[in-house]
Amino acid sequence: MTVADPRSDDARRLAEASAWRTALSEASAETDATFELWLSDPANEAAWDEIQTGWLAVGGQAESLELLALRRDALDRAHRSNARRWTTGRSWMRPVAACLALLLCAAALISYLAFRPVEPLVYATQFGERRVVTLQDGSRISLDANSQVSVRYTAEARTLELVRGQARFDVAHDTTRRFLVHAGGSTVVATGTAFNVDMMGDELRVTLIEGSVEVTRDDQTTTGPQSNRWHANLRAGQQLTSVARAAPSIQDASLERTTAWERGQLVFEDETLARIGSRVSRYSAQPLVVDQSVAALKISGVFRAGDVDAFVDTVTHYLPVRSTRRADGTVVLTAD
Amino acid sequence: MSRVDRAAAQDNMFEPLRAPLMRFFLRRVSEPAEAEDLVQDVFARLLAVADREQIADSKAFVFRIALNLLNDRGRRAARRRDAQLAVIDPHRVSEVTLEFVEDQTPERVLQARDDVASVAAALNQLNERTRDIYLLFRLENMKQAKIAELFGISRSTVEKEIMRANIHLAKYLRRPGS
Repeated sequence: MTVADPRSDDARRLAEASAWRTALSEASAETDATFELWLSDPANEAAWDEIQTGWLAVGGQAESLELLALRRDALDRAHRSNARRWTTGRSWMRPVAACLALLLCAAALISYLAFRPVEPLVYATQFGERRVVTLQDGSRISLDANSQVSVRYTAEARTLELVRGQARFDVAHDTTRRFLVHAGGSTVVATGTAFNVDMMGDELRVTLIEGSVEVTRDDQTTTGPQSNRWHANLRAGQQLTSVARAAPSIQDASLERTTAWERGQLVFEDETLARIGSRVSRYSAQPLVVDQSVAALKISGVFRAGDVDAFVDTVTHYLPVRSTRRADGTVVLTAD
Repeated sequence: MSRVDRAAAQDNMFEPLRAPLMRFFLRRVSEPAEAEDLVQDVFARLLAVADREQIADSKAFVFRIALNLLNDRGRRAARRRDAQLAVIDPHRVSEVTLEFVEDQTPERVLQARDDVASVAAALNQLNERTRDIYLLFRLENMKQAKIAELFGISRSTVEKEIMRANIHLAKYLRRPGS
C-alpha cells in the first residue's frame, strides 16, 4: 500500500506507542535512548500521550475496590486455566497426558512422602536468638529474637503466619502461588519481594524493602459497626503502622534502621520507653518492665541487642528513671 | 519529604519548571505518584548546583538531569531486564492496526476521565481474556512469557492482547479536547 491514509498512520503510531509501553514496562525501565528518539517525533508523541493517559488512569485506580475485584478474577482465571490444561487435552495429546499423569502421580507420592506433615512447619527463636530459615521454594525468613513463624505451603498458596515478634521475608518469585503473611489480623500479600513485619503489643509495622506488597485487614472476628477493613499498597522504603488493628498510616522508613536487628543492633529514634522496653525484652530472658510513670519518656540511641544492663545504665543516666531488680531477675524501670 | 526537598519546592526560581517537568515524568513513569517524587528529586539536585541563574535559563540542562534520573533508575532495574527494548515486530503492529482502523467510530471516543467508574467501565468493555491478560501485565507485574505459559498461548498473542487493551483504553479514557 503506497497511499498514505492519515487514519491508518495514526493507528500505526498508536500501536507503536503501545509496543513501547509494553516493552518498557516488561524491562522495568522508564526510558531508553531509542524510545526517546521515537518520542521526539511530534506525531509519535501525540500517540504516546494517548496510550500513556490510559496506562496511568488504570494505575491510578489499581487499589480501588472495582479494580481489585477485576484483578482477583484475572488471577483466579489465569490459575484455573493453567490447571485445566493439565486435565483436558486434544486426542493426540492423550498418550502424552497419560504419561504426564503417571509422572505427576509419582511426583505427588514423592512429595507426599517428603512433605507429609499437613500441619504447618513452625520456626521459633528464643530470647536473644536470631535465625535464618530457607524454605523449599528458596524464600528466606530471618527471624528476630523471641519470634515465631508458621509456614504452610500448598499447590495454591504459600501461607505464613507471624505468631509473635519480628521477621524479614525475602520472597522467591512464583506468580502462580501468592505469598501471604498473616500478622495480628492483617495480611501482607506479596509475589517476589522483601519486607519486614514487626508485631509489638497491638502495634503492627510492615516495612517494604524492595518490590511491592499489599496489606489488607479483613476483620472476620467483628461485624457491624466495629468491623474494620482496610487496604494499603506499599512502595519500596515505605512503612505501614497500624495500632490496635485500626486504619494504618504510611511513612517513609529508614531501611537501615528497620533492618538493624539483623546486625544485632537496636536503633531507637525518639521512641517511648514503653515501646523500647518491649523491644529490648525480646533479647533477654529477664523481661524489662517499664512502669506507667515513665512509659511516655522518650530516648534515642543505638544499643547492642541482648545487652540489657548497658541499656538500663544509659536510661537511668540520662532520664529521671530508677531501676530495681526483682527476685525473679526482672528489671523494673520506675520514676526516680 | 526531607528538608532539602521542601526548600527546593518552595524555591520560586524552580516553580516555572514544575509543570513541564511533571509532564515530562508523567510521560515516562507507570505510576502517577512517582512523577511528583521525581520532580522533587530534580529540584533537590538543582539546589546542589551553584549557579542557579543559569539553571532557570537552561531548560535543556534541567531536562538532562531529569533524563539522567530516569536512566539511573532504569539501570538499577536493568539487572532484571530480559526484554529487547528496540524490537517491535512490524507484522504484529500492522495486524492490530488494521483491526483498530476498521473498528474506529467517533462514538467510541467518549468523555475521558480517570475516575474509578470510567476506568472500570473501560476495562469491562474489553473481552474477558484481553482484560485478564492486560491486568496481569499492568497491575500484577507478570511478565508476558509467564502469562503466555499460564494461558497456554503464545507470547505474541499475549503482546497483541495487551496492545488491544492499551489502544482501547487510550481511546476510551482520552481527555476531552485532546
